[in-house]
Amino acid sequence: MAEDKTVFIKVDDYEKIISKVKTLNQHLQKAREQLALIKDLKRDEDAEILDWDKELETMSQKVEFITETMSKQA
Amino acid sequence: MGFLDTVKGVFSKSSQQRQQKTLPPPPMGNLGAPYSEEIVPPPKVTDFDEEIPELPDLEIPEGVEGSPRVSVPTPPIPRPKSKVVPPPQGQETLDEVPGETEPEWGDVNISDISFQKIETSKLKNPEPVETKPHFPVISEPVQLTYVSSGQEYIREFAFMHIMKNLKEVQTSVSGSKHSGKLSRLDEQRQAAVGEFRKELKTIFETLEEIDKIAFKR
Repeated sequence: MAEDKTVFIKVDDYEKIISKVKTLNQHLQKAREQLALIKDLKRDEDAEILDWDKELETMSQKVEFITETMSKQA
Repeated sequence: MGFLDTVKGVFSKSSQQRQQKTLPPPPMGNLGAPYSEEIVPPPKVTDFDEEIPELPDLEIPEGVEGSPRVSVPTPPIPRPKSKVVPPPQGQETLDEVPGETEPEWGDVNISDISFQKIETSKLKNPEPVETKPHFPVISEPVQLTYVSSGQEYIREFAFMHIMKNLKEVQTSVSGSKHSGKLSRLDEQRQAAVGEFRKELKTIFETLEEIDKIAFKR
């Protein structure tokens, strides 16, 4: 069975691998932080887009008022 | 004394004698008898030294004894001659105006004269005065121009509202805080996504290195 076979690794490689795994964990942590930042930015963007939606609604009402006024004066 | 003073003295003396002759004193006796309405009260006698003129012979009516009635002619009362002017058709004369009375010419004092406001029928019912417009008569094309200019004013007023709203919309789109904030958030998000991709790439490279080291490929 392959599982029963013993794998021999040099101590230097083992240390390199341990170091690489630590670096891997650090980058994973940074990626997690960046993802949290992206989520925050996305939440702010959603709020901003909601404000934009309200702003566009106000603009639409004003344009509708303009259209009504113009149609009345015509 | 001059000639004029002499003439004035003669005239004044003759007038006094005439007045005393024409206005004799009232008859005495029979006080109960009524006076005639034509009797004028006697003048006040101030000069007692002057001789009383003789009474004129007056006729005593029959049936009256001891109380002779004296009929003294009254001096003529000056009355103004009223001119009768035929009124125009449809207008009332002053005699027809209520409250209008002829002036009494007794003892008239200037200070007692008062003016009475007379309202004539013309003043009560004033005729409507025709007023002509100051502007020239507007022909139809000019009137249409005037109406269209009014509409132009209304349109201009609406256009001002339209421009105001459009300016607000333009400000909201281009220069408002929403636009800047969204752009800033987008830049930050792009940067965060870039950093995230870098981390993922580093993780992938690290895993490859681990694999190389572990399996010596």
